[in-house]
Amino acid sequence: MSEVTVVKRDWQGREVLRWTGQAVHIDADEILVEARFARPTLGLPYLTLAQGDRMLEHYYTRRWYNVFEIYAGESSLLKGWYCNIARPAHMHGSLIESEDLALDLFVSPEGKTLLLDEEEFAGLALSPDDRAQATAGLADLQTLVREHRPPFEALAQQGRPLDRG
Amino acid sequence: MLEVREVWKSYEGASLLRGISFRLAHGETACLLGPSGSGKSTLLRIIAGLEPAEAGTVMWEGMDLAPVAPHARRFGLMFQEYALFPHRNVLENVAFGLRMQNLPRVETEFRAHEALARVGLADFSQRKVTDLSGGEQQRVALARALAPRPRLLMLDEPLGSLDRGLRDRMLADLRRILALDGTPALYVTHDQEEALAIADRLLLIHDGRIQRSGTPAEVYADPGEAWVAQFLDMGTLVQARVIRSSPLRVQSELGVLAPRCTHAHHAVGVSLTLLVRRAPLTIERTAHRRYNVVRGIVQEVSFRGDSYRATLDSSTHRIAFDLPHPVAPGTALSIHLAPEAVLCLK
Repeated sequence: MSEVTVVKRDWQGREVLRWTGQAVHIDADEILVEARFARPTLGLPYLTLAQGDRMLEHYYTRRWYNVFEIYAGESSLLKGWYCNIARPAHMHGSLIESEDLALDLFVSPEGKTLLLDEEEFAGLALSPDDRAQATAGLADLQTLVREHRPPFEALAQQGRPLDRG
Repeated sequence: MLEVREVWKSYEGASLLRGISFRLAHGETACLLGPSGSGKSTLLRIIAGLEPAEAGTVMWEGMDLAPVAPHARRFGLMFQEYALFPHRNVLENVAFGLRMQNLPRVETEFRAHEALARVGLADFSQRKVTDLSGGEQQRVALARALAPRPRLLMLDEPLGSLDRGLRDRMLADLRRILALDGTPALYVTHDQEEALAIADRLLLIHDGRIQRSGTPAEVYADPGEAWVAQFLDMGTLVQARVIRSSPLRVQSELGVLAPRCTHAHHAVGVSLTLLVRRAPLTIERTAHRRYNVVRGIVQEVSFRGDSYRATLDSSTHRIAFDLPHPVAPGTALSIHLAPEAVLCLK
């Protein structure tokens, strides 16, 4: 019943990737999608994504980013948050569309942040307004991480041990 | 309130929904009940805005929702797959539905506590969701859907993954919660018992149409369509021919019957489909009655809690009845059907 398709586009609106997931929650400001990482294992210096990893993908309709909470397979082991700076998401029917602006922020379960693809972002021919919104979006994300606010509440649990699955 | 008007939809060239219309009243729980593949989930997706209808309209308080994106409809959704956040406690999971409303933290927590109290989990707020039972997790998901106070709650087979005992308890809870909450709800299921337990009103969907709508009691008193009687397992369908119009008498393979009929006046010679219910009835000692008597040999008997279900072989039919006391297999019986046990269908 709740199947939706996510379409990731580049900054010029060209389709890059699409995948399906289940809409878990839909409201005026946010669409939460549960999806599985379907590609072969992807080893990054800061994160290894394995086939079947569970993603809780937060798409915001008024914010300039989206956030993927990544869990190892079926477990409740949190691998971290992958945040994409993007134009606000649009939903038409069962299609959720997001235009990615290259800049990414990875947040580890311990709250360490890593800014990625800054150079690529700097090279995009964005309008001054888009660039300002994207930069403000990144600052907003960094504040949420620092203050352990949703969707980063798990960081507030540093005092109590995180579930290690 | 919600109004669905003449909605049509096809799937791979075949008509799936063929002119669905209904209204949902304030505070009402309506249950879309139909077999797998009857299009009920598609209808829910159309109402949620996840799919367009090919024809017809979905309206909220008189406004056409076609141009309104799913996320702007303010409908709460709860599915069989409810995906809680494993690293957040119960309260944080419920507060998720409220986080974007820019409420002061105290207010958010207050509303989340309130939603938890509504689903009977007031003392669970600090528990880890991974430590909860399946039924408790389901209630957390329900609290998350209720917390933002949606104007319509849509539930798609929400108890599908639970075992039977737990499901029965959850059904009673859910019914109470929805009644207290007052949020109109559209509940989709293929399970007859679940529908009867939860619904203020049943919408029976089959062959792309709503075949029957009414309170569970109304539908039971008069299923109307043969398909409805069969799907709800209300008894045996029997073919008959009218031999007298008033009062109505028919000749059937079970003998002469006097069906109740609310639909039409039937002329002599017309063919009818009847529903013969399993009860109420009396076991006859004498053989003087001229109609509504079924004779046969008892084949099997099974205990049903408040009655004994006996299969009777009447030479033309094997037909089940619910008897007030046990009868040994092999016994010859004459069963007198009460007037309300024989019903004329469309």
